[in-house]
Amino acid sequence: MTTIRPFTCDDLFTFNNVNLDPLTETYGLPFYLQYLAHWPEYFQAAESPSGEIMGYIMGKAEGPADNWHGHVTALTVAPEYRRLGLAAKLMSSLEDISEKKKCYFVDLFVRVSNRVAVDMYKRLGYIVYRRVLEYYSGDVDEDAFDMRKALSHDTEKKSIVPFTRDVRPEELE
Amino acid sequence: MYENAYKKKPDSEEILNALFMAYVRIGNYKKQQQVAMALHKLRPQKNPYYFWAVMSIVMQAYENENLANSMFLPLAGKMVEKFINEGRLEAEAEVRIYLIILQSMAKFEEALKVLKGPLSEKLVSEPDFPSFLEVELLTKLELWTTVNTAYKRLIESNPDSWQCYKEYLRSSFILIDAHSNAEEGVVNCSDTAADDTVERVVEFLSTMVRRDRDSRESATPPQLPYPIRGPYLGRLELLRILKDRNDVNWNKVLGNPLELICQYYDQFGDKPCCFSDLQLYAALLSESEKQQMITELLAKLGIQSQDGQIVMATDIKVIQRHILLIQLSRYYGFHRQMEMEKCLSLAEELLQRYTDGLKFGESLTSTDQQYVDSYMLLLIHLLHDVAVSTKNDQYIWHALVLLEMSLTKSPTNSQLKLLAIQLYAQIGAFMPCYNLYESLEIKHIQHDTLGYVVCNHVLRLGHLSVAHTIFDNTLRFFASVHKDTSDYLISCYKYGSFPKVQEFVQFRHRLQNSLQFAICTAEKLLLDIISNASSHQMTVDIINGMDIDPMTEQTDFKSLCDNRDDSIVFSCEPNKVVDKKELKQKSFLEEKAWLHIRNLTARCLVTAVRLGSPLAGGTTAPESAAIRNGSDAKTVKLRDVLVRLRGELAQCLTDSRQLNKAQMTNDLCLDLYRTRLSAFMRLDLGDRFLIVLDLLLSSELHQNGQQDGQKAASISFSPAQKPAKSLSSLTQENRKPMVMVCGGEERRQIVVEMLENSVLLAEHISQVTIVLGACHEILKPIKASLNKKGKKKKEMDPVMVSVFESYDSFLSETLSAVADLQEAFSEPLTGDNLAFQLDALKIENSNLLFQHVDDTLESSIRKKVTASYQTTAAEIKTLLDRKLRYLENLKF
Repeated sequence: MTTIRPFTCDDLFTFNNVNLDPLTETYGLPFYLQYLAHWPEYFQAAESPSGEIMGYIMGKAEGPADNWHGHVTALTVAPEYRRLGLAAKLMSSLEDISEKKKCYFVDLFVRVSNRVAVDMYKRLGYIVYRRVLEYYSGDVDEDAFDMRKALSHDTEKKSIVPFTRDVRPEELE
Repeated sequence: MYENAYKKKPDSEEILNALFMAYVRIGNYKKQQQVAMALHKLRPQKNPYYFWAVMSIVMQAYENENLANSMFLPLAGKMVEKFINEGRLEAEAEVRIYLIILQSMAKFEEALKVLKGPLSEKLVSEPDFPSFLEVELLTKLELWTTVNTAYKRLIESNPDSWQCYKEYLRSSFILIDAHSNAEEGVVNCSDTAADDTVERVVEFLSTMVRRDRDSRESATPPQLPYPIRGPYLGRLELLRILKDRNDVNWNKVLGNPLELICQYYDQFGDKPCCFSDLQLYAALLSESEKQQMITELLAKLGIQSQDGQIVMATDIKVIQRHILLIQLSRYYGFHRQMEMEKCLSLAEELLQRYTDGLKFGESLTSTDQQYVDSYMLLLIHLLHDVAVSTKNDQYIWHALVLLEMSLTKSPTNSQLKLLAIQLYAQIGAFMPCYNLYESLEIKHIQHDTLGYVVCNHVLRLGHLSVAHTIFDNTLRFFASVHKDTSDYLISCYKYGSFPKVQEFVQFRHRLQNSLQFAICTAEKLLLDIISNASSHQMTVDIINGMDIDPMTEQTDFKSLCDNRDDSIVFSCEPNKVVDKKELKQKSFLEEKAWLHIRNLTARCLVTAVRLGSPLAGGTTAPESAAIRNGSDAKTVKLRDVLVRLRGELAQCLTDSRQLNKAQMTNDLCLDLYRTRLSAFMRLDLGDRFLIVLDLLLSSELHQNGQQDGQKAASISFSPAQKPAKSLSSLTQENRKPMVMVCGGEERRQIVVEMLENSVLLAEHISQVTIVLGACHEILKPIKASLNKKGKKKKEMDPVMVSVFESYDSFLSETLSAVADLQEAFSEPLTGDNLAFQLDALKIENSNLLFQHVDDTLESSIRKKVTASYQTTAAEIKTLLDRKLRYLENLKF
């Protein structure tokens, strides 16, 4: 049982039960504010009946011409609210918005080691478009999968023909 | 700057743009509006400029409520309507701003018309926005039948949307009440689709439940892999409302509430969120029903002990259900009623289940939590209960050992870490707290919302250098708040995200008036003033280096915002025992009182030092800038400032004494730890500080008296009373070992009070030293002139004699207090001594719970704790050493 609603600035004060998760990064204020100012419709929170934030999704629409697409910047669900289909719900709302904006596809990056997430995106219809080498920096750098799902606007499904080789982060446009 | 540029080139779009942004930064909405209109005139084809002006007018309306409805909003509305009529409205943002204006003016019908009209086609970016706004507007218009049916439709398409159920039920009950008020016959709502009787609500919710069941049973493969909680929680919510309304049939309309809750458990009991769902509906069951439910469901799980042997769960779903039942029984208050022996045996059972259940998590990665971590959390709470009821810290110690063990299995579980932080803080070991806190990777805005987790402990336990780090990190975040928020406020205009403009402004306000920000500012200031100086000249230099105006209070107490996020600790504590909201309120009051005392203390210290060294303070004190009559006038003025601050501080202490009577308790479920106010009051440190300020004031008065012929003080005050206990008796009392044996050989207690008091006393001594330093500066020339006069002491003013006497007695009392504290920190806190004391915390017990403890783990904890105590001691000793040298120089 969930209320999906726009993420607001005040949620930054109470999203800690979600962000204390080790795989969820807490960014500096400018990062969140940039998304809220530029793509407010792409920033959604899920709230529980007790008023707690269960999870949230951040995204944007960008890209020139037929590369115009929706991008998932962050998607996270607090541990106690997992396995309720919440991530799928948040993803589908982002896809709906991208459809309305006439995007060709939706893409996202995910750690190759994050099996649970990769499998979930596959279930939601995403394919591995390419591998981005050492995308995540850390003690040991980690590769990312660039995953994609075509939207109805991309009638020939051109956007999801897998790229032929791995790329380096600096090659990403 | 841009204003000048604009004057030079009034037709430059670029400069005007920059000027607009500059006004956004400083929040001058009126100027924003003017510049935006200038831009519009310059580029009439660019719509955004026109709407920047409109939004700037809307912001003026928010700022000035009096003129909002009479002037600003109608003006903004007309401006938009002009564009609509001319067919010039282009973007979605422009429609959104129009809707904002109409809603602010309570013109809900007009707003509805916009939603139904051609303009709504522009609302594309949020698919759900129009339909939700529509019902919101209908609600505002109190068209309950329409609202009700609208929410029914929304529920049908979003059967898991909590918001919709809540509003649906609300509107239904408004209709039901309207019916009963209208008595017979007069039915004014003809819309038959609305649910205006309890029966119809029951019918609708039952349909939703049936639909959910059917969709999962009939569809192959099931469309939804997860059952939807909505309809089931909706039914429970209905019962809750009926019960709150004292409806006689509340427990009949849907059948037995106990059965409904058990059904919910059957369906969702293996989800971790089930606890927080059922927690909301605890009041639906009587005490005996709760007992019955837990007993029956436990039995049904089939993993109860048989012949003294625990039957282990065979999969994680069973474990999750079992955890839920234990959590619920804790929430229902059953654990609090248990005898110590039962608590311990339940804890033991949970430990065994924890240990056994680890096998299900073998393939988990290091960033996952173990499935059985909740067992650990529960059993730590049980051990804590026992520690509290027996006043025996051995159980805390043991809990820590178990927690550290579980952290090796689940190294990123924040709940385990938060619990460990609380326990370490409770035994006064700050270093481990800080390391755990750091491992949570707290950063950016979390410094504001979560800083409290360690902030009240770091100074309490005297880790001064870490305190510096914490304050610096926190203040660094706040330093960029204005810039960060302003930059993106500008972006809101650029991208036309008008609904966010006010939100950003309020957000900035909340951050700039943050309690945590104010605390860190005050504490850092006090720390900077007292920590390094080992002579009065150093203090003078430090204070001169600060840009502080002691005349003004930095904190706006009325606007202060409590941004602490106290929801991070998962809690199953019964509501009866802990009302979190009330506690947060209480804690906020206490924090404010303590902050006020700290702010005033710092301001008194700064003024005292400047009073003592008039020349040195002359350049930076803003109040002196205004007065050009030379140093004499300024000294009089500084004196007035100090008298006033002293009075405020005295008042503040009186107020706090009242507040302190309703002191905070510290329950484990709550991270909001008390301030140091209570200990401060117990030691009478506020009054002691006032007395030494009085000494300074009377020294200064008589110095003036000598020079200017008994010039009376401009403001008088009644001197503070001397506290009953002398400072030295306090420092003497404080010499205790860290671990005490109480009640025969039975109980061990860690004397954290010893640490906390010593730190407070050392801090107090440092402040007193500074004031004495200021006295010394004033008395020095008098003493010198007396010495010149030789032995004609009989001519000395008797008042002056008493001033010198009390100065001397203060000085010697402070010196001996330093010596006492130094000693208190030496003996009991040496490595060997501590190790021996901490060894006594081990529990020798045949109970399984206290076996299986890894010795190396325990000794590593002992090392950490020892090192932490010793850091406290070392830091305080360094501080005291400096003050000793400082004080030695103040002797005549």
